Amino acid sequence: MTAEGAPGRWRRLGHRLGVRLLTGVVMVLAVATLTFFLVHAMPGNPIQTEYQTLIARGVTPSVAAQQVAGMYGFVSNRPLLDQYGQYMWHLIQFNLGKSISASGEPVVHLVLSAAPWTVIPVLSGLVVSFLLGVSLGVVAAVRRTNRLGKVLSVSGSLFHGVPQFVWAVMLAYIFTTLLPIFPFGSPYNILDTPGLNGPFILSLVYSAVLPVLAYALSSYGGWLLTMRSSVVSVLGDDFVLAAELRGLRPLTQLRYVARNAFLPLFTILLLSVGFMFGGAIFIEEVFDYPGLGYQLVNAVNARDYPLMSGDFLFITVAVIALNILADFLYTFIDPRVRRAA
Amino acid sequence: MAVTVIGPGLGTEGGPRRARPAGRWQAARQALLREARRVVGAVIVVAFVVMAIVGPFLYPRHLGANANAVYAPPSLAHPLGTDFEGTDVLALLVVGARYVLVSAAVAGAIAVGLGALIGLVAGYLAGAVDWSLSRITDFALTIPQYPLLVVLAAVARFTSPLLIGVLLGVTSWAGLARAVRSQAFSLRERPYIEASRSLGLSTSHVIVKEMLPNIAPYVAMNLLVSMIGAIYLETGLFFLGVLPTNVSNWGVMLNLAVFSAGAIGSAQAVSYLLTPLIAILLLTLGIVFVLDAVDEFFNPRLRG
Amino acid sequence: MKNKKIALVAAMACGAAGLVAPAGTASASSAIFTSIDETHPITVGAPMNPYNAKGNSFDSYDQMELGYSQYNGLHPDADYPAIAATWKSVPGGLDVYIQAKADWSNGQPVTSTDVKDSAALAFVMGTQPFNLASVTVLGPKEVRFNTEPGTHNRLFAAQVLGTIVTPSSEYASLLPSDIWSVIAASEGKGAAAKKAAATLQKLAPKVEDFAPKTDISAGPFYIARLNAGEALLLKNPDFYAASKIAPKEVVLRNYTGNEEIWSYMEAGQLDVSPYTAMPTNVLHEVVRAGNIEVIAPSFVAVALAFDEARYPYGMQPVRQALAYLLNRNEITKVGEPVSGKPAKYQTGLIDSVSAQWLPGPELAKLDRYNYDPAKATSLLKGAGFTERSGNWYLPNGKAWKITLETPSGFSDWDAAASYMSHELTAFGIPTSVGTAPDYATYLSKIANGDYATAFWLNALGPAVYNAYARVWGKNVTSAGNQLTTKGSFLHTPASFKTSSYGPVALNNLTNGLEDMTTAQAKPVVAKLAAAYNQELPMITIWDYILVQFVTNKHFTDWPHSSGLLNNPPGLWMWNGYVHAK
Repeated sequence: MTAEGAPGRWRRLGHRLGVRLLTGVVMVLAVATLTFFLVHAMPGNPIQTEYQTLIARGVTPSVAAQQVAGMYGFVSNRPLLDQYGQYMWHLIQFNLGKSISASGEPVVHLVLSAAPWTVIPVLSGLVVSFLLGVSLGVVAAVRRTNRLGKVLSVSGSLFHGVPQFVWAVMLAYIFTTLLPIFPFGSPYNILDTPGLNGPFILSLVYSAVLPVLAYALSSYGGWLLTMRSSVVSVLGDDFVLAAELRGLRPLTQLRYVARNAFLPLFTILLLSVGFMFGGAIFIEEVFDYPGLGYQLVNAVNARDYPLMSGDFLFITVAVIALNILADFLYTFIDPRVRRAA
Repeated sequence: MAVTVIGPGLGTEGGPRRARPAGRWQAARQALLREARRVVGAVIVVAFVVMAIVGPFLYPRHLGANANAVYAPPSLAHPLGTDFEGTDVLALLVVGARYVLVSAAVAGAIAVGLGALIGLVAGYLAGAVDWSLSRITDFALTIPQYPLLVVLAAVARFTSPLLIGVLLGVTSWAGLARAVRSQAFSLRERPYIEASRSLGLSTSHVIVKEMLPNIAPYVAMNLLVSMIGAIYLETGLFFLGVLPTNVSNWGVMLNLAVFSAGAIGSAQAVSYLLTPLIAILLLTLGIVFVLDAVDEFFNPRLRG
Repeated sequence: MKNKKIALVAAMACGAAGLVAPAGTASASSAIFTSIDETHPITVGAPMNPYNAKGNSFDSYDQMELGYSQYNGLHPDADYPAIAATWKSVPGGLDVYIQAKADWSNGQPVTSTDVKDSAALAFVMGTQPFNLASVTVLGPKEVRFNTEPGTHNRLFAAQVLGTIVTPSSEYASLLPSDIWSVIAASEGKGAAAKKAAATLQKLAPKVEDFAPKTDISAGPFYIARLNAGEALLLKNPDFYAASKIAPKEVVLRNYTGNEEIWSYMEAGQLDVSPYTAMPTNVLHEVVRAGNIEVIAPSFVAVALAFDEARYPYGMQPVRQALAYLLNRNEITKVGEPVSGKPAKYQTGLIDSVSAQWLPGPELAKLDRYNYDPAKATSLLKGAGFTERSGNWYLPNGKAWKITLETPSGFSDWDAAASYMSHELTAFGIPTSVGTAPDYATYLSKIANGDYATAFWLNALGPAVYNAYARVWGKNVTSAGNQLTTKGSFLHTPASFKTSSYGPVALNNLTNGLEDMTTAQAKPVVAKLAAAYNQELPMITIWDYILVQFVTNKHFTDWPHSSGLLNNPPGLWMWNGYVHAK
């Protein structure tokens, strides 16, 4: 530690965190505003959609009209600005309104029930791809002159270049049609009683294999390439030279290198959770996996304004929170930034 | 793509690097020819560009349909089979290339232009301008792009490739702006920039004539990266069906193949599924390989 | 590198799970019946409440009506018994006798109170039968539905029997004790009626949001649990016809798009799959996977409708020429190859209903409008259109261009419109396809008169009144409650002079159909059909067919009658079908 006293350091860190939190809150409000007005610029009218669904089902027009009025009694007809004020006021109380397509269900419930089906596969996919990509990235950097390194780099570029939805479609084609060994369309087999029991957990894992694989495959390349270039640039640094001169063992040297090259990646790790959340839109849509992305696309197609903005807002807030966390942890971990703080 | 932003080419070594043009061309050729895959990449990219320029002239404006050859398998008449109304899939692929590339180019140009401009201005002017531009950049970086695009696309329902390009461009400049800003920060401390400033040269002169050339390689690389991103995003949005499907775009083909033709489960329509899929793959991989050469060209340290 | 080891372990754990799980996941046994409720995807978090639009409540499984329509084209009021064992029309109402053995899944009997409260709940939700005034309990298992004095409604019995029955033990507490006097007041006039209507309206969200803790069902099954992809229902031992119900468990799968249903069928996972549009290549895969096609008529068709107020579509020869130009066989092949049949007769009814209502000679007189470009050319030339260098020009000299409007997301219509645009463009009328963002926007644009030519569902049935109401009825413009005042978007004439019947008062005859018996309606239908055939306000492209699929893996004995097939599978079971293999 430096000469600076610990309390001073903590205070500075606290101050920094406070500023970041405040910025975060402002951002959330700005995004909420953006969302609100965007969503109200959407073409279409969900009430009419519902009405026509009833007509198509054979309900007579007048009964359908009455039914729709009963169902959507809560849809506000007040001026937009009033609706905005109401929206923000409710937002502060964690009330995101009621879904229109899932008639009257609170948006918060729907979003929270979908969130685990995105968060868990995203995190699993991220961890798998991160560990694999970073480890192989070090190998690719250290062995960049020989065949192994080259093959790894090329695999990184290839994997990184393939869009997520292409991964998803290919996996769906291979594993639900050519070799139908993985299920789809359900987060777990309904015949297994939910709880902490073997069959249920197995069916949970089994149903998540394809989405997790899609996340992992689509982000593995990025990690490999980033780690490789990070290691390459660290390899040229003075301290590595010094370590070599000091005659440290190669393994110890590698540890030094890896640790320093790893630092910038750590922040990206948290940031990329946000990116993966976004990718969930494609992956969940292909596998009919009931997470936030799937919900968002369905909400868009059903013109379910409140649910759509709720999903968008939730994803954005998660990303903002992770940003703040990343920033804070980075400050904590990297001695250089910590001292400067 | 968040990961791409810190690309391998983020040169930290500074100073004006103005090699003689002749030497540059040679270096570029060397970088390209060093590995077979880079040549392959260049060939693929050129082939698609040619396809985009010439392709639509090879076919009549109205591609025609045939109800008696719906989802026909590949044959001499239809090398890649036919679609839901018996239209030739190869024709759709070729005609769709222009849309894909035009919007990717527009998106790349806008993203890179905005990113470089904002980054340079913020980094060079520093102070309050930097502060406000950085906040805007942070904000733009924070909003997850795909969900935002899904929502925006649903509102706008664009069909023109130019408008789609603009939409993608204005939502993807922030990563580059942040990276350019930090480079501009270090550049402005360089003696020759300080000298130009003390000579009283205008801000725009310093930014465009003195600083831009220094980050040009980085910007060039990011143009390619942005284009890959844009191809991914536009085909992805069309694939999801949040944009109207009455245009010629590979993403539309993919959407119809998966959601209308049931091609994932039907061997008969599989060429309809694979054609746009492979086209997207080939094009992005072509650009990735070219990028590899560009990377080495600007950042020789990576050379093995 | 410690990290790497964890990664490998994680990867191996995933792999191992993948290998082991197939054994762990019970494959559907013969006791489990798997299907999809196509009218009702599963919504996690929504209450198990039939009054909630997205509530988890599945018709004929755990949700029961008094009776179910037999979808009889000639007798639209014929019903299958369900909770109502029998019923009898009496002066001023309908007497309903509840199944003697009908019990809820908690063992309590289904009583007349349950039925009366259910009728009140229908009032609250706005789904009550027309002209219903009140309900009288006549005995523990006997109720009378009273009509408003002096009213007559031919479909009263059918509408009463459509009432969903819910348990009073759960729902009665939502209703104020004076609910029936509020209902009576709301049917009156003046301030009191308004106040009563407001009271009912305020109750509606309360009823809709009500979430019972457990599913108490009078049907053959009750919900055990559900997730975002599936719902599990268990057999209700207290169901009145439990002995006829073969499956011990029902798994209903969720879906968001047709392609999801196709995947389930291709994987052989559905015992019964619901009506789904599909292309022929998917049909082959589905059949190869062991699914067997079961076909019944579906009482709806799709047409290309014209706004006759817009030039040149007010000209009868133009509409007729387009009918000759559109090859309905080919369009159907592209748009609805499996669950559509090219329309044979242009009558405003589906073909099978046309054949039921119109005698053979009458049918033979109708113009079939089979594909005939030469006829179209002569019609157009006769109307003053000109053809120059392969393109058609309007009588006013301007180039003729058509935009066929469809809503996005209706992939069958989109495909059909696209193919029609190819046909018309090839003929020399440059045609494009316009896509509205969704069905609602589409309908409001139609109502606003923004479209000259648009796709329109017609020939709704089984009652012929419903079919003609889609063309000349009072509600034809309603794309929503606020648009009903605008008049027909089709801008059809009120009367049309047919060659066979002379002038036919289109709107008046159509509106009169509502109250006619079959015998009274027959001559009217003949006139309206002839008028449709000649005036051609819209071109019927294809009739939908109700195509469902069954597999014989776990169950056999599937129904054949159109009436049962138009109803959900639970009904098949208590009518003696669906037996374990």
